[in-house]
Amino acid sequence: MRKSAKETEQGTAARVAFGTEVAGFDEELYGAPGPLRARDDYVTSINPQESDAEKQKDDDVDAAFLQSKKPASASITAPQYLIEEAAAASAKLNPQDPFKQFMPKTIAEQQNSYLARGLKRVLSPLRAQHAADASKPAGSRVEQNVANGKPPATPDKPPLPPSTPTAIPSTNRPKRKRRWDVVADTATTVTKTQSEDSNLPPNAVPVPDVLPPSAPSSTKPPIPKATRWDAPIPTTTLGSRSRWDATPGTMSMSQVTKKSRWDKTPMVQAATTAGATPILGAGSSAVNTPFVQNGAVPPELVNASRWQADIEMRNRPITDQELDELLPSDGYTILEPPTSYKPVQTPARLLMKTPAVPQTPLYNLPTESEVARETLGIPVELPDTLKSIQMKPEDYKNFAKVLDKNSKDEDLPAEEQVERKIMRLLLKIKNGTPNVRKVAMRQISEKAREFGAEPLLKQILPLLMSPTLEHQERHLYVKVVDRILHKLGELVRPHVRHILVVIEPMLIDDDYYARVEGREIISNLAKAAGLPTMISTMRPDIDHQDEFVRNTTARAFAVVTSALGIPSMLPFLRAVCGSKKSWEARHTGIKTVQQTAILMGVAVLPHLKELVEIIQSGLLDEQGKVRLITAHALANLAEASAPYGIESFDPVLAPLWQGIRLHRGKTLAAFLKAIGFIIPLMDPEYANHYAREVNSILIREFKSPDEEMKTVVLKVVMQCVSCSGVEPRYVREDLAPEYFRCFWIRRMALDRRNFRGVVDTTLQIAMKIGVSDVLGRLVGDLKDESDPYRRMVLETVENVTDKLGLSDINSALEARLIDGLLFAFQAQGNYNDSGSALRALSVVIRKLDRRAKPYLNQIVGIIKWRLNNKSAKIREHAADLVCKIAEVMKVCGEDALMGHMGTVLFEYLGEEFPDVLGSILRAMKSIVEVIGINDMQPPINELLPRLTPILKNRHEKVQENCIILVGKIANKGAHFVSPKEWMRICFELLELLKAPIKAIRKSAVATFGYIAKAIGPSNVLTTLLNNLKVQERTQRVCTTVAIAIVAETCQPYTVLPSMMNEYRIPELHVQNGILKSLSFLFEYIRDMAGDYIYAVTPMLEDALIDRDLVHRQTACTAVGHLALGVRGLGLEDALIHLLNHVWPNIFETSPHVINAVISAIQGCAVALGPGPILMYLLQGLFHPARKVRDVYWRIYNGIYIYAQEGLVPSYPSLSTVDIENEDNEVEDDRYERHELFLIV
Amino acid sequence: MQRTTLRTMAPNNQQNGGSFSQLESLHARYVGTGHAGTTQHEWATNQHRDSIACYLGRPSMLQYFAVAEGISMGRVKLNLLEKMHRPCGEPPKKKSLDEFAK
Repeated sequence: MRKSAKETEQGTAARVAFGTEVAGFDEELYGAPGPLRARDDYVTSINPQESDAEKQKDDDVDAAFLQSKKPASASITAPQYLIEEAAAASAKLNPQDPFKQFMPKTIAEQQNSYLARGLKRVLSPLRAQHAADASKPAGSRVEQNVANGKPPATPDKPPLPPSTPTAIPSTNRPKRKRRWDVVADTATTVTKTQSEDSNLPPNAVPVPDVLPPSAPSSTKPPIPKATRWDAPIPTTTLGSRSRWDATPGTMSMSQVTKKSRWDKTPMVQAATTAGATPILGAGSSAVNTPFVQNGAVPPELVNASRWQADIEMRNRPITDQELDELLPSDGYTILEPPTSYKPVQTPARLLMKTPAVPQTPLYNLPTESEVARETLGIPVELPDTLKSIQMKPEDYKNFAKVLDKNSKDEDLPAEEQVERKIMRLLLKIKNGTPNVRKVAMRQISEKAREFGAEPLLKQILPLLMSPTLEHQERHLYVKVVDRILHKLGELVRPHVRHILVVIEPMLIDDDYYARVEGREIISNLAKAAGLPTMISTMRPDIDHQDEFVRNTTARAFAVVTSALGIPSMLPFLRAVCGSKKSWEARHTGIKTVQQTAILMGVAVLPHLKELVEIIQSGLLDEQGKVRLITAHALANLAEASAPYGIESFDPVLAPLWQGIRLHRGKTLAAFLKAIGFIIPLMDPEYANHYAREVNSILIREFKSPDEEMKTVVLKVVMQCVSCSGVEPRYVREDLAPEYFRCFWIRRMALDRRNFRGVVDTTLQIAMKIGVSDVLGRLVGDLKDESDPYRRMVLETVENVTDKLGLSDINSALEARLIDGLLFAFQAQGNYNDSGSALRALSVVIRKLDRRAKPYLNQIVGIIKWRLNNKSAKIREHAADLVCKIAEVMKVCGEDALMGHMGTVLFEYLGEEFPDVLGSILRAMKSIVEVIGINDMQPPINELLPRLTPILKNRHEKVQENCIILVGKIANKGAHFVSPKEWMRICFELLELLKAPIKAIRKSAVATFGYIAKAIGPSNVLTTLLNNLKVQERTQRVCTTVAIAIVAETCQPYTVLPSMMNEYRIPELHVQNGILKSLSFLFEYIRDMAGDYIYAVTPMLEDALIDRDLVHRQTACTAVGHLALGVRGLGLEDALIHLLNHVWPNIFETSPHVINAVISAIQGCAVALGPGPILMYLLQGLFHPARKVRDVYWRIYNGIYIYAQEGLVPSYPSLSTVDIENEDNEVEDDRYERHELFLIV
Repeated sequence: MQRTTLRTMAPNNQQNGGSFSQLESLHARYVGTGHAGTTQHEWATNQHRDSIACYLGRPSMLQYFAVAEGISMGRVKLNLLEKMHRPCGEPPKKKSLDEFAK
């Protein structure tokens, strides 16, 4: 043990020496003491930012040094094994998070490298003075920082309080070299110095906080030596409290980041969380936004490092001093360690071995102390206003300013107060509960003008560029931008550029909603800022060298065009597309046209001619890319304007058709695509001519190996063939043979896009040349051994047959077809099968109809065989096939066969797999449907008892099919089964009433009706009425529906008395339930309600004057349905009576209630005519109170829209209204409708 | 019903943005609909226009007027059409508060 100390003394370059009296300097890590120390150009201050004057100087030195000494960095890198070890340790401590894939991903993580370019766009400074700042050499340093993956310094930081320790003048510590790699970060200056032993040798390791410092702290020289340690101590420092917490950016770096920082490999950096900081160009340092400090320390990392530090502490080597204490002084000699001895010590471990700590600390309960929170950069306590807000780790950095409880806004300058206000609102919008968010959103948009455009955008835009942004956050920020754009109006003009830089990349986002949001913002921006501003802002980007920028700019221009109209943009587009200066500009202009066509669709039609004229010269451009985009733009224009506008394309026809002979590859594909879209617009005879022209090229390109070309060719063939002008004979003889030869190959089935293209195109060809031609070619391939290829054939057969029928195929082809299909059906694998064989076979059988009879026996045999198969999927498909062909079997008169099938299926009701069981039940159902209840095999009285237990099955498919089957039996063959059995089923059905699938609920309710009809309503009704008392709302609602259904099927008079009797039970649930079922009842029985209106009126009357709001609401709904049902039956007296009770409720404010009331009134308006309602309304239309007028006009508008003509005879005479005319004479008849006083 | 430009509506505190725009689109589509700020003159004008549109669509009604007034049906039609413009004359001047005070 003693050797270790001795050994370190040797100070070999490869070893590190720590905790020894002599050599406290790690030469490998920090350079050899001799020659390096002699370098005079070292900046000797740790922190260059303490004072402005010094800062300026230091910056210069820094920059100069960075330039000159770059290669030196290689010698100071951490050893590879250290990095690997640290990474392994952290990997062990943080095993792969199993929920990682479910964690919300940031947008930056999801983007591909192209989209990520958006983040790198330069945010130029928002203010002039920032630009001035940027001109300082600080800019270069910032760039350096960014390259290092470190947050740039924030120059706007308030000046340090005088008490804060600043860097010691270099003369005090001659040995302490300023580290060039340490980022000049003010944060390091603000470090809290811990009690440190001034007696320590100058090179002593600072004591991390996890170890209680034992040495007496006599003086506190603020030695910010910490900064030099951060680099070689990847994890262990994280847990310490000392000055490390002040440099969050550094702390957050994982080992990978460290490495990347040293190695200067930007790609690795981009992958880390803290990397990929937007590259802020020349003044970006001046934007002064918190977003760049996005480094956040995940708590688990901190815990891990703390844990590791503890382990290292316990396992540290024993020092000489300790050995002296432990061992007697005599009898032992201190040996020289052999030269070959190399201790297995890493610098990381050595760092922990400090002389200041003599003993291992005892175990500490890991508590979530304030210290730990502070370590993470989390303020101990949030301000009261933000207490309820959920925080994410990076928020503590982004919103640091407003999170300190102790800082008060009052003593800040006004500008900063506004900034904090905005920040607080943004935080609330981002993380608050919906209510908080809503309020904050309203505030920020109401005060937008007050805050001003600049402070707002200065904060929002950097947040939008943040690499840790998530979809939800982006959505919210974008919403904020949208709102404030509305408010700010023309004030945004100076900031258009910044907004565009941030928003433009959203236009090419993968996420549809992001694209829509981006479009909306840009279009609002265009409306707010006006066309000239937009054009002048975006013009520089038109011929930007970066394709990404041009792409987004073109899309943004397209959005502007659609927002401000094509005509206003035409002159600009014409100028851009005709630009002589650079092909990039022409490319962007044409792309703008293309995007406009995509965005605006058929709305381009009025300006189609101009647009085509603008871009037509691009077809002959000398630059290939321009020709390419022109062809694409023409295709999009033609697609958008279909089926009109062919005359506008006249000028481009010749170049296009000549072009396909000149070009090859991508350009040819684009030209063909354009032609494919233009041909369908033509008149038939022209279409035929032009299609023939293009066909020779098409057929040549059939053989092209290029995937894109294949897709385009398929599409063009489809478009040509579908033209009415193209003759079937031509397609059959010239096109089809080559087409089938080139495209019906196995390789085409492997790619999804090609698969679809071939299937669709073949369908088009079949529609042109007939079914038998196409099927004749394909039938043989049904027996192909490649599964995907067979599926392609099957899908085509299905589509073609479904669309065109099979009437024109002869019996030989028919036999081959069925044979092939049966082969395919049986050959289908038991996995990875989408059921295409099943669908194709069932479609073909259905279309064959009577002609299928010869094959049915064979098919049934196959079905029976496959019902026995081991694979559940195969059994399911077999059962499904029964369901599909049942109808055809009936048509073919194969009743006996069906009965047989029924018995077979009955035996399989014990099936375990719910999917298969569901299919079997469905097959049974279709057999029952076709064959009739009476002839059903097995007989119903055997079948139903087997179904009752299946009703308990929880699987949706089983439930649905079973309940439908039971319903069918109850409907048609209830007499086969005893009432007792039906009652049992009734109880089962009650459970199904609350099924989550609507279809199940519907058939359950309908079945109730059938059962009630079969066994009489009284028993069923008792069950249902009792069910109204249950707690669960869904079940009660379904019960009310069931009651209404029972009433409908068994006549209302069998049910209404018991319902009205039940209403007398003084229980809210029951009464509401009755009212609700009454409302459903009236909805279902319609005009039958006329017979019962007088009977139910007293009950409704009572309900309408009830205290309970819901009570009145339900009663109003019932009145509405009742009124609609009895319209025209001469029952106005009762309705007026009910309306009188409804009317006082019009001032209700709860939305459900008021809607019910309005619907009741509108129902009455239908039954009574608008006149009587107008009489009610006249009292309140000009009431002095606005609240009253509001409601009355709302009702008036309703009846006005419903029956405006009906009001004409009912308008009151307005002769009583006195009006003063211009001459101050009072007229009393100006509003009178004099015509109505004419009498013959 | 003719399309007029949307009259300026009195600010409505009751309604939030959503239903306000609903109301707005309602007014844009159906000119005759009203709101709490509709004046009697506007309402009467709408009544007249609706009535005239109604008469014009019914020849028997026009015939009746023609007989009663002793003019041709075409003349009746023309009169009615001309009346469409301002059936109730110019809108009354807004009375200021001091006039009410008098």
